Amino acid sequence: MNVAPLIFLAAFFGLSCSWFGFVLTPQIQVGSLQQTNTIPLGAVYPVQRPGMAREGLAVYRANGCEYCHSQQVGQTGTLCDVMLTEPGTNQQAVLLALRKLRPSLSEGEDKELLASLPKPVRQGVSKAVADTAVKTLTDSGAKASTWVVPVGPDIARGWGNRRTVAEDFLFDYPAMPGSQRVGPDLASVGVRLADPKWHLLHLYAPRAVVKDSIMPPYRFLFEKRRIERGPSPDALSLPAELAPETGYEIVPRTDALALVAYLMSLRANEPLFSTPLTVATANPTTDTNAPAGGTNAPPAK
Amino acid sequence: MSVELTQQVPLESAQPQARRKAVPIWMFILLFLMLYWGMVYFDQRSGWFNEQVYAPYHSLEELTSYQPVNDAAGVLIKGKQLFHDNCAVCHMDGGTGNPANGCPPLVGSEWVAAKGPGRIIRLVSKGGQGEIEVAGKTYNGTMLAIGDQMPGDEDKKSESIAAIITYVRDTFGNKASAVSAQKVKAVRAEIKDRNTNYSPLELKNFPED
Repeated sequence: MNVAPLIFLAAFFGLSCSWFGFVLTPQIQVGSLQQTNTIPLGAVYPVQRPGMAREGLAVYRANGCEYCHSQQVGQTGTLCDVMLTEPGTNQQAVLLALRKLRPSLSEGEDKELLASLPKPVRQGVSKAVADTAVKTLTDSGAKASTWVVPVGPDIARGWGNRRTVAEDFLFDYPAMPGSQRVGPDLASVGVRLADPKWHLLHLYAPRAVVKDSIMPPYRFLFEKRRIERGPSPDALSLPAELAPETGYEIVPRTDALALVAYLMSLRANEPLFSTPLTVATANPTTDTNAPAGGTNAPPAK
Repeated sequence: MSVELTQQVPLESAQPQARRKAVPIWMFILLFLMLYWGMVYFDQRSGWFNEQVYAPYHSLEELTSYQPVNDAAGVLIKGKQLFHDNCAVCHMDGGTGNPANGCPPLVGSEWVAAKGPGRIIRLVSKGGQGEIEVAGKTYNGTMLAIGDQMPGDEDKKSESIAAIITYVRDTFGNKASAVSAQKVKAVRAEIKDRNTNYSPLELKNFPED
């Protein structure tokens, strides 16, 4: 009996199944990904990285940074806070509602809470519980809203506000989400460590800034130069044991500056439709140049 | 005698031969159990392969339920941002317009603070061209079809346009009502095939609300 066609068909079926699963489906899913808007500000996200940062991407790749650093923050769940924003006119009813939601609140404390709004009433509860609490509060005449808080080990470490999504890599080629975490995640390192001088020093001598770092120093990205007329503004301010002899200075080469520009541009922290997140907008009506997104401090535990 | 002997003992054993054999029934059962498990797995975790749905969310409905409630303040913030990005080039951040370029002001404009948003939705969606009289003065300029150029699908466009118009109708000393995305979508559905600018005279044919 000739079974060759059967074997061929079975192999073809098996291979085409994996092609559908690993090539076609992802292509349909994210192949035509476009810029989106942050919510609720409606700013376009993501924007193309600046030119220097795009060169830095090549340096990041050439030095194999992605073998030790991931750029993907995980999220295991989403919890809600109930935020009381305005007490309304009927204080007695609001106090009653407050006591219903938090029986442990003493008489003095609840008045204090009402005096210093906005304040969270419940924290870290599920969506359904939060919505019920908001309804209880709004029924009493107060104004309350549900705040969405992504949670997970990575977020608790302060590596980002939210999980990483495909849009974060929209302008990167190749995208380097990384898989190993020998070092910390870099998805929003530009927000967390926003000082380029810190990064330059860290690249030159990691253990000078992070005591227990196991990162290798990248000294070939820097050069030692004789100080001619005056010290360069880019020169590293090194601790005494690392500083070069007098009359010389350590300055970053273009590659180091590009790499740091790329690190500065890693800011995957904006709230998007696919990763809802409530950010504190202190006063929506005031004009401010401060970047949207509030603080990057890890949520208080 | 010898003939019988040769018949009983073959000279060599026969060639092995592949034969059809029925597939055991447990294999079918296992196959269907695995298929069932796969379907349940997809149903619970795939989010129907929607590109917006990532873990820990399971479906678009769940994800939508987590979206911040589009309260008045949120819409105004969004509108302000969009106005700054798209409109302020000509109309200026303060809504004073740029008479030198034929761009009318939004401050004290009867077009903006109209009873309803019927005309301004059309104007923002498709742009405008021609002489327009605003607050007693005549301007002659061209407005781009900002609304059609908003990113995203029709729903997102409508939301953005609604935010811009709500913002414009609420600031610059105007105190007109907010505009819902549904209203914008309904008006835009009527004019979806149009791809030329409106002239102000033409706009006057449409009801204000």
